[in-house]
Amino acid sequence: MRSLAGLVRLVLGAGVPRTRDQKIEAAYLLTGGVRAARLDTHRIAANYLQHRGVDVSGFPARPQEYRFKSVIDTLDRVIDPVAEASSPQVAAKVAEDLTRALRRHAEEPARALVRQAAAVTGGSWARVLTGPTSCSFCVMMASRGPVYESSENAVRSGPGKTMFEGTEVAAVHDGCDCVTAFVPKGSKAWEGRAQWLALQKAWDECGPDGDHRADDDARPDRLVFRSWWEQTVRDGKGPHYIAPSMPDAAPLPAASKPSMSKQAVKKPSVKAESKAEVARRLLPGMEKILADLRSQGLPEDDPRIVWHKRRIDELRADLEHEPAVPLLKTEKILVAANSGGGGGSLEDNGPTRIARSEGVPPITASGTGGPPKPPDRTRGMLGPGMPDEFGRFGDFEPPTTRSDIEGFSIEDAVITLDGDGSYEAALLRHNGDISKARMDAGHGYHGYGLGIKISEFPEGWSPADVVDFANAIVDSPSWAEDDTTADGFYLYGVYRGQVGTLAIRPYGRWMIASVIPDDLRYNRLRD
Amino acid sequence: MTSLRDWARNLLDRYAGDLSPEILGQKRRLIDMGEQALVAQDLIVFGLKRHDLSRADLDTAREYAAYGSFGKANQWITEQLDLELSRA
Repeated sequence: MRSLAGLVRLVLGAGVPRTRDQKIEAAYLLTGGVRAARLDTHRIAANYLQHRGVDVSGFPARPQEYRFKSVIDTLDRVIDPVAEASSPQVAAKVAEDLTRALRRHAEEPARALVRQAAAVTGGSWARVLTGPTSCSFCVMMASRGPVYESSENAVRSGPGKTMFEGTEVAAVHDGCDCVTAFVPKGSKAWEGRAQWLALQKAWDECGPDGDHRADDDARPDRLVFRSWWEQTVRDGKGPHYIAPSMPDAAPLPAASKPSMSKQAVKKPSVKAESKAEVARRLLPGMEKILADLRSQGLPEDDPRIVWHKRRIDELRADLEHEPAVPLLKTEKILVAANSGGGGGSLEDNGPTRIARSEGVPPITASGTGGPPKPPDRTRGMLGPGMPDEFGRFGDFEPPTTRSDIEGFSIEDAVITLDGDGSYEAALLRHNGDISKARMDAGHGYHGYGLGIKISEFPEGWSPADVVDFANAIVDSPSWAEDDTTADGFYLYGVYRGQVGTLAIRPYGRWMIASVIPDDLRYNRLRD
Repeated sequence: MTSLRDWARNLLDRYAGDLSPEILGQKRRLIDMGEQALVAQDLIVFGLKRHDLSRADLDTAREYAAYGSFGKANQWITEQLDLELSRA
């Protein structure tokens, strides 16, 4: 799989293919690489099954044929037709998305072979996590354990209730690093069993009266589970749910135990690590484990060696793409300066800005930053010296005050970045068809690199940054506009150079119904 | 079931005559940007106020609400839809 990432970089080295002819040329180069990788994973999976006592002699010697059109379709999907072709950022994003997609294609034969073995032998298979920050969709699927001996059982058994009749229960997404583990019939000694039981317990605790669900939380179980998992990752406890034999597991933090209290679930998050920071932390351990495995005399095609090599390549690539200058080091951020709003430009919410220096918390609208601490408002927003009324914006004056708008929480920001689970549910409904799932996506999915929504926050923005972003725009909007359809309004603004739109709605209470990292007013001017 | 995006477009087309050109354009841009959930929930609320959503619309809206597609407003919209369905 090492060569796949390199091949993508090589093919895109001449530029992102835009025309049909360019895409066909790129697809010719890529298809052979994917076919070779599929042969590898098929062979590795056969070895893996043999070591677990499965007679694979009757299984297909080669994976299912991989079509040229699959690469063309993938290129069409990951290349934004209106993005700037010569931009290095665009090229890097296309390379990342393409590699993730083609890796999924390359790994599919291994997953398919394990599923086939389960069906033929009367055993089962289970989704097992390997990444300490696996997505909540995968974690939910992993919590179902070895229930996948047949699609019927997968639909009707286990804790994951978002299955639908007739859908592909083995759906995986681009970038998915789950392993499909074979579970011999009646076996209670398979990789990941203890972690599955822990995840199953966590799922149960997200149900009614569960420890992971607040008393007033009426969300569906899967959303409560998602919040629990996000908090678990933020607490650095994701590795607790990875089998020790899964080599991607990060070292556990010292003296850490899985959090089980409702209070812990609601604890504000710490700032997320960047990819480069994660890579720098994990690489030494990964390289040491790889050296240890090699010293044991394992062949280079041993699944653990292959897996380590691939992850080390990915981590090194993350280090290579580290920005030369830390994003926040010299940035200037906005402080509330527009007394009562009104008529700011699109590029700047007001004349007063302060320098944000590294290590010094920013003065933010939410009051989470450093001195001087702004005065508290009654709910949610805190603004330094800001009046509670928004003031007028042309002919429009927002029909509510800042303090009457419900505060934007870390949990809200996590959904803004990672989505509300609707896309994942749609992915299952549509048998993994990404384009159809995108058309059913609900709120959020604005995190960097997801590729689900048009507008994404900059790389490295954490949920805490998004909370600051929302609060900064409420405190210092550059403009506001009515929306009579919904009896609500839009606020526009800029924070740390990122333009944004907030949809404020009176749905039962005044709330920030949506946070969009794009200025819709600017879009209109561009029309 | 029709996709959320197509359904939001369909609702918008039906209410186009009742909306200002600015709001209509805004909502079309939102759909193009993948924000069909926000547009759909706004139009559901618009239709609920006028009591002119069809039974099929109410059922579709209720189904998407069951998936949790309407974000922070999901619970409130579900309650409003159930109220309207009980009247239908």
